[in-house]
Amino acid sequence: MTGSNEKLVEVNHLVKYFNVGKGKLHAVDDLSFYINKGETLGLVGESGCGKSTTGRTLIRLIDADSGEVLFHGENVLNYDKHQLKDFRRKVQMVFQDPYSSLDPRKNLAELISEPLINSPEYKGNKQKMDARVRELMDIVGLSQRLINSYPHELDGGRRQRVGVARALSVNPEFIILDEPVSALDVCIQAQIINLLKRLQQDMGLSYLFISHDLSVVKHISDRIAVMYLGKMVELSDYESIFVDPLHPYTQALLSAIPIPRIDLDREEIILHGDVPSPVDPPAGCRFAGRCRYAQEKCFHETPTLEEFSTGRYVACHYAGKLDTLSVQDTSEKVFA
Amino acid sequence: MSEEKLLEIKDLCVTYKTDDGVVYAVNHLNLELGPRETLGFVGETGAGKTTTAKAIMRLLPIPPGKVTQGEIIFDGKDLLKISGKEMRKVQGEEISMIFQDPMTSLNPVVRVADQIMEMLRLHKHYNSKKEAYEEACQLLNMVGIKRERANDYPYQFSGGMKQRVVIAIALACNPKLVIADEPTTALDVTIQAQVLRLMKNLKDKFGTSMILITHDLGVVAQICDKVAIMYAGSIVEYATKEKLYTNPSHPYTKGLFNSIPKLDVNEEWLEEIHGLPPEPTEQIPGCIFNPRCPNCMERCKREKPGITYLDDQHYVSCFLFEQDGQAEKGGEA
Repeated sequence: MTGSNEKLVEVNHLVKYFNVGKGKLHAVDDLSFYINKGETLGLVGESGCGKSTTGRTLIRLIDADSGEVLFHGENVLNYDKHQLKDFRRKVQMVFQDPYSSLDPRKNLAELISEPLINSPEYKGNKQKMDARVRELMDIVGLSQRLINSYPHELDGGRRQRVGVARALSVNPEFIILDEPVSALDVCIQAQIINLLKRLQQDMGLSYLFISHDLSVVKHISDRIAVMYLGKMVELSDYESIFVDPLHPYTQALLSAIPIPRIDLDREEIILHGDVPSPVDPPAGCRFAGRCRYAQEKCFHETPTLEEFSTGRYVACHYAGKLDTLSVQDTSEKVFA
Repeated sequence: MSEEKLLEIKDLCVTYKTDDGVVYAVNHLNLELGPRETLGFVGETGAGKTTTAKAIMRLLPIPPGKVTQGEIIFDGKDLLKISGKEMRKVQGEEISMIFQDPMTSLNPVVRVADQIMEMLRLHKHYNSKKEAYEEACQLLNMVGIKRERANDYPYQFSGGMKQRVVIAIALACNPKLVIADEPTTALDVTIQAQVLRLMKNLKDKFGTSMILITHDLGVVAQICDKVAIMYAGSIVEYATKEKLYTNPSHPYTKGLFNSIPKLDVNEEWLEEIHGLPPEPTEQIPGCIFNPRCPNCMERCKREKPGITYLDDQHYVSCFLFEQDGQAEKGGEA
């Protein structure tokens, strides 16, 4: 599952603000990362942290405000119509909710062949198209008797397989998976994750895997990036982020995952309050208001993502020195 | 199991009539719950968890739903036999429910304090509206919402805060049993941790029993005393939390544990349970899990397994264990 060292996608200082009535919503704020060929980068964060916007901006479903997205070294954000068409043949997306991302009035054959309709190879060649659809159904583990079924006849797991088949139809190099398993039951989730991993091994695909579930991300990713309110707070290989999380937010996120074991003794970090509004956020570290280590400096100076050790990046003024700070009790006083 | 029983379900069967045929949503379900106990109800979508909860609350849509047999004895009364008037006294006052999605279970055009007061004034007597309002504010305070926000509308709250309001409503009349149906599934993981902590504290404080319906074995590990694993309308394994997590026995329970991605182990592939849960209208001969079971034997395809007690706190419904424990109930042909 480890990729080569050739950078397939490189994102530099990506920014996307949305104009809302009250001001500017900082959805993606100065994001930089890269994805190697054949590698999976996991992007983790809570609702509203900008994970999906990042994914959509990469393939220009949303236009970025500034920054650059390099694909094979070319800036995607400057592509014209023709180049974009070409680009989208190489990059595909699988959406979160297989209940709403498939057209309910199309059957499986139509759904899976849809991305190929205009491809010169398949245009007007019904037999070839049909063979391709059946091949794709085999690849994703859909039985061929379903070829004339409609989405409403399928369960969530099978629908998501249709979503994957659609993405694979054009032989892409890079797939953005936006919460592909979060609408599925745990047993079905395991089937889809295994499918995605197998496809990656067989076809040398690169993934950007967006999810709110750290345990799923850990399972599939080579490196993991954690986002909070539009900013990347930590980026590191999948092992050290779990063994030794550097950012206080990553620590809290890890501690909040319910682990299905009873013999574990771990520190519970319960964050106080909710994620603040991303509309015109104040200066300083975005996490400072909920951070149990927060110091005076954190409220004024915005930390930048810096290399902590080889391959490990963190955006915290006190990364690695958190032990020396006193812990403030931010736990809630419920029965006051 | 426990000497004292608050809730006892005997041989409950629920069906739904649909155009495609009869759905057997709950099949011969037996369950006991003592005071102050928390029972985790775990299973996949369509396993019949919510149907069971709704049957207890008498909230099943009838028709198409129908309780075809069984008893639900709560505090000495059979909830399926008492009149509608008596049942309305039980609903909310003795048993209350927390629903999955706080975005839809609160009324969007009513202030949150009024929504809590609705519950209070229905079941308790107040001399003035102000008195009820005072108590509503105290309840909000209890779940960590400031008094100033009592006159806000649900849309002004975040998901976690809304679920706190729902919890305040559920606990308003100090019920003996709370049924929480996936209370944290719609919430982010850090907010989930807050809400679970809150529920645990309040449950301990008021001595409430709870049935927690969830698909997340991690949540169960944090909060429950006992666990029932449901598959396609039946309980396949029941045990105390300690026994279930140290010694999961039914092949389905094992499969469920194995398919969860683990944080502390690096594994290349997740173990899958092959295949899919049965179609709701499908009647499978023999053990209901047999088409997906890795340990399936000839016998499993013909007979339904009875209940085998591994010890007095742990039972499984599987032929694999019949030799070891004593079979209490014979299987049906």
